[in-house]
Amino acid sequence: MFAAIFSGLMLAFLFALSSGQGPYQDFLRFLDTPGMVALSGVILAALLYHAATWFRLTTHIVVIRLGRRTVPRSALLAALVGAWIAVSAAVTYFHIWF
Amino acid sequence: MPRGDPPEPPSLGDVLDWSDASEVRPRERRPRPRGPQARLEAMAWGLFSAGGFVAAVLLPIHVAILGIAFAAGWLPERAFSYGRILHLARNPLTKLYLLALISLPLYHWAHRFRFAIHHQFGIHLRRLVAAGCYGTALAGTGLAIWILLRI
Repeated sequence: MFAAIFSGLMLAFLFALSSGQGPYQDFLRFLDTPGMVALSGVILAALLYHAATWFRLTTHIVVIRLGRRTVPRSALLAALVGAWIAVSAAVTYFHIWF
Repeated sequence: MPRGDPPEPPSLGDVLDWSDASEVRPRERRPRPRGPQARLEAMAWGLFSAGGFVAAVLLPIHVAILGIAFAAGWLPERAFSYGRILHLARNPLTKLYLLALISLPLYHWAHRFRFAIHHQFGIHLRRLVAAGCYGTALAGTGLAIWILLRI
């Protein structure tokens, strides 16, 4: 539900971007209001909870076999968290400094 | 309690030996339902999984940057300048990325919400509910394509 709300927010952001500099600046000012910051905080908390449950679920569903043995869940969870950190760092770089 | 040297970090071989406890036996294949209905259902589950993965891995950092860091003033001045974001969004690879970022979570929501309507709200109008949920996700995808082509 919260991911879908953010999808709607991204659609509005891109629509404002495609409509010119004036609407874009107006949308940025709208994002800067206390209500939108509070909504973003709630969405972020819900998404982090979703990420934690999704990764936990993944370690129970995905079974990687090496011969007759399986990779332990803890190793799979560590790989997922490592990938999450790497992807977040890459997005931050492209979004802010690239 | 005896105190000695801390244990050495386990080798990969040790870790794999421990994992013998969770050895998985090959399962017998079950007959699977076939036909267009089963294919659509499988596609819906596939999009649900892809959307759940995007929502878990990609969305948090976008919300943190766009919703929190920008308003808090933690970003450099030019990070959200119109010219820079427009230049970034006009790249075809960025457009493909944004399409996946926006539309896949919508299919995740649609599939989850469809089952919530059936099981939690007790509404069993199967075709109507499915059309409403997946139709919303399809409309969002269409809207995203239209907006991305406008940029």
